[in-house]
Amino acid sequence: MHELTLASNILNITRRVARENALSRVTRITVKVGVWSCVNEESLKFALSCIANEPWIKGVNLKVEKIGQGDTIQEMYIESIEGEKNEDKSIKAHS
Amino acid sequence: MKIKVLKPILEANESIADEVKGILREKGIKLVNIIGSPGSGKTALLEKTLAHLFPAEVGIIEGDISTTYDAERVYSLGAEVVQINTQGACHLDANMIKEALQNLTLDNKKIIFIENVGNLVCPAEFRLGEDLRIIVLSLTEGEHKPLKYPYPLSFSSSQVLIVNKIDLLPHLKVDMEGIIAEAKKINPDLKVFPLSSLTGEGFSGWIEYIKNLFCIP
Repeated sequence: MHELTLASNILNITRRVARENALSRVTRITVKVGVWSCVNEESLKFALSCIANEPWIKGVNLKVEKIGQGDTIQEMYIESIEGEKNEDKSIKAHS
Repeated sequence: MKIKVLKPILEANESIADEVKGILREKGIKLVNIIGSPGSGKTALLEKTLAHLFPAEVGIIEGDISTTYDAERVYSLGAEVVQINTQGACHLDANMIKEALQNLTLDNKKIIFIENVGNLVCPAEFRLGEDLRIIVLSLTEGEHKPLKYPYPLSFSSSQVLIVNKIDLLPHLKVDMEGIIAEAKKINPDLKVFPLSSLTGEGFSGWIEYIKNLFCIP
């Protein structure tokens, strides 16, 4: 439905967390989406690959995990990000 | 290295929605988000509802991809209107509402209606800071809409279902009770009002509900 909006929110949150943790590169993002949250995995991956084109995140692997119990069925959140830490080339330089 | 994030993807929208809620709470204004397919009768419902309220106490935010036709319809009834043209976007988000509020006089208002972009899917994901979310479904849209759209939160996140255009019932091969039963299956707490925005049939229940809910005399 509105995967590009979601992808751009994912990119913004990832950028902020990467900066806070002085990552120079982000290689994997894991998101959890409730089975009722209406997110199409393929189109979310495609949307993210279209906008994640700065060097620090280009080629990032997006992992989408479905969750489906209790009150979590409508949720969607970023579980974790993985990347490389390198003080010299930290993400701060890339703004 | 792996970093735990645990942040909602739409956290930016959520926090602005809370801001909107705060602004309106301070002024004692209730916010209603109207969702429904194109042509389900959202504007007609607003027009008829306005006739039962004091238009001067009502603000309306019209969300459309393009044009100001809907805004003109409700403006002519005496309500203050802000038009949002989304330029192609399929839903309204909380930030659009926050900006629209700057163009409304809030001091004399009791209630603000948002007419969302005609769409049963996308608008449901975006909380706008509303106190009440209603979904408008017309009998001409065909059967099984609730079950065809269960995942989008349209039905499950709304508190009210308006079944519109009941004046057409004699001319249609449609099972209204079946539609209502399906909707209730998805959301048992849904308050359902079958009505006609054309003839006014069934309106008294809906008007009484909204006046009681928001303590409007």
